[in-house]
Amino acid sequence: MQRDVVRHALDLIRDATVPGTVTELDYRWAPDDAWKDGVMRGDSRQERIDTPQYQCAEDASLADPECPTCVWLAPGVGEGA
Amino acid sequence: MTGRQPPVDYIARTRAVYSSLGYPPYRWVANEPLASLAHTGKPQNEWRVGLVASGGIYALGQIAFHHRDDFSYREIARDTPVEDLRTTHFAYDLADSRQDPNVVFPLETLRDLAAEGVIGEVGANAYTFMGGIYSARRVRDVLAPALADRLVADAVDVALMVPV
Repeated sequence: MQRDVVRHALDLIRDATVPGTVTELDYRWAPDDAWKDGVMRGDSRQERIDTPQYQCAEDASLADPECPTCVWLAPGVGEGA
Repeated sequence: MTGRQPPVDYIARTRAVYSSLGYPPYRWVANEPLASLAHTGKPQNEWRVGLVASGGIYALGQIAFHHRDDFSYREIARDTPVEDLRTTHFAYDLADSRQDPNVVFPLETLRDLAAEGVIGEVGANAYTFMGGIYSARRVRDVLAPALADRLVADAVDVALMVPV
């Protein structure tokens, strides 16, 4: 299914004739739509912490503190840090 | 209620959640006008395809994203093993992405399509960042141009953007 979804996305890039084109695929998230009843019925977001949030503790110990492929961007003009 | 339902009304539910939290009404970003459409002029099986994803993906050895308006990005080499991919995010259920990162970052899927000859190749690097950045201006003026520059430098023909 993943392959087909990506394939459809690539085909849309090839075939779209106007910006904003949307294609509905014939896939369902689940056998029925009961899951929709619970979507965004409250705030399920985690606390927004400003330190790296690793998937597991081992990742933190293996992280390169100089990480050349981690790119930090300066704030835009007129913005603070 | 089961059976077929209409699409989830995310706009109404987002407004309701924000109201319940005592926040002012949610302000949706409207990017107008739409970007113009450009075709590559190449057949699909010759495309070099770039990948950009907002699901907080990082690779083993990289510093993970934080969850408070982190507008840095990660460069992930196209041959990175799926086993070395990780996900972190404050606003979506990570269970499936941690079991199979391809659900939010289809790098392996693109590699397979390249191997099958559906596309020409995957760009040298994929790029990931942390969605849920509350400053639309930083995304528009800083992050998006930086990512666009990288895609141009990689000489990709098209870029697949995968939001969460």
